[in-house]
Amino acid sequence: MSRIKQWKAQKLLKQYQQGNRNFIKIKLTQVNLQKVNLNGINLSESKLLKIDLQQAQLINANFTKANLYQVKLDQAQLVDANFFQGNLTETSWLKSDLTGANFSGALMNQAQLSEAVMIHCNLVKTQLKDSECLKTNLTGSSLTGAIFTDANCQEAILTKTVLTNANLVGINLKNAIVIRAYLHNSNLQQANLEGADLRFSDLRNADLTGANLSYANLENVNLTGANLTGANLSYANLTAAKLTSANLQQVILQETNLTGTNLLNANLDQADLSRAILTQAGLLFTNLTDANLTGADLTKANLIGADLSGTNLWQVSWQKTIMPNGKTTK
Amino acid sequence: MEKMGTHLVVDAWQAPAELLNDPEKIRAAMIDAIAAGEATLIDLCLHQFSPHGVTATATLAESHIAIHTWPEYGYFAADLFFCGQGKPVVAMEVLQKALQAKQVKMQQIERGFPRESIKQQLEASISL
Repeated sequence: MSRIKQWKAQKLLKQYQQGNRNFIKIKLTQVNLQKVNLNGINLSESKLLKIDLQQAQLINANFTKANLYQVKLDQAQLVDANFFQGNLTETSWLKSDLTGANFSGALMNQAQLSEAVMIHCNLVKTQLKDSECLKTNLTGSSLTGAIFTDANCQEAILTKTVLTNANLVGINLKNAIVIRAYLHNSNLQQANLEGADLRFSDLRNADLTGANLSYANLENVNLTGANLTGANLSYANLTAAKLTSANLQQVILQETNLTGTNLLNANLDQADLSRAILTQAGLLFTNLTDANLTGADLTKANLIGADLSGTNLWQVSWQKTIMPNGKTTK
Repeated sequence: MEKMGTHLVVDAWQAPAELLNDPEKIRAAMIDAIAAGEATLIDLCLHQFSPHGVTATATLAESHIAIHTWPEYGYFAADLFFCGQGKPVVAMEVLQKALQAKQVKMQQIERGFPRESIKQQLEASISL
């Protein structure tokens, strides 16, 4: 097995200019390589500690299993670069172009990725704990099984991003764009999704316990079987959403728009639905025990088989509502 | 034989044309099938043909799933190659259910190469 050799930056740049691309298992520490052109370089299994590669050209570079602890790659060009199973802890990638890059199995905890372009990246089983991803564009990327806990992703773009089975506990996705994303079986406990745009996303069986979804746009989302215990959905838009068999115990749905929402078999025990709009909502066999429906609009809602024991129904609007016994109000 | 994986070659028909011409429904079906088959999705690529038909390919950590649809015949062809772990038959069952095919013909092929070739390779490396 070959040992890692200490190299000087000048030697590397000279050999690169002569056409050498293979620099496997080399060691570089605390050098300035800003704005260098190292496209296609192979630095697999290398130790590149605290290197400054800001604005560098590293298109299609190979960093497989490399250690890039505290490396700065701000505004670098890293299209299709490979960081498979690398140590990228505390790295900085502000405004860098990482389109199509592979970070599968990499450690990226506490990485700075704000405003980075990460379209169609492979982040399968990547660890991104406590990372900063403000306005990061993750469109179409795959984060299956990734650990993205306590990351700050305000205003990030996650359109069509695959987050199946991802651990997103405590993530901050305030005002993020998460349209048509796949969040099936993901763990979003205590996540902040205030004002996020989640239209048409798949959140089946997701765990949203204690999550903040106030003012979020959840139009047409699929939350079948999801756990929303104690979540805050006040002022959210849930028009035409699917909440079949969802657990909504103690959930806050104050002034929430639930027009046409399917709540078949949902558990709304002790939920706060005060002033909620439930026009044409399907509430068949829902559990509304001890729920608060003060001032809610149940026009044309269907409550067949719903359990209204202990429910606060003060000032509810009942117009053409189908009641639990099947009779329709005027 | 040195087994490398299991390949399911599937013909499915009597499926609704509108489902087979809807890339988003196919995308969702693929993702559900991958989850049910206990596989890990790396990349998913879909293409809508004109005037109709969809091709979808999923790159998996365990190999791949590909599907090609002919909505005009209510038919789709799928192949699911899983090496090592994963449950391709379960994944296919999810695909069939999601795309509502009433008829399915499934062939299971064990993929790999003759053990003899490993022996020959080892002998060649020793003689070097």
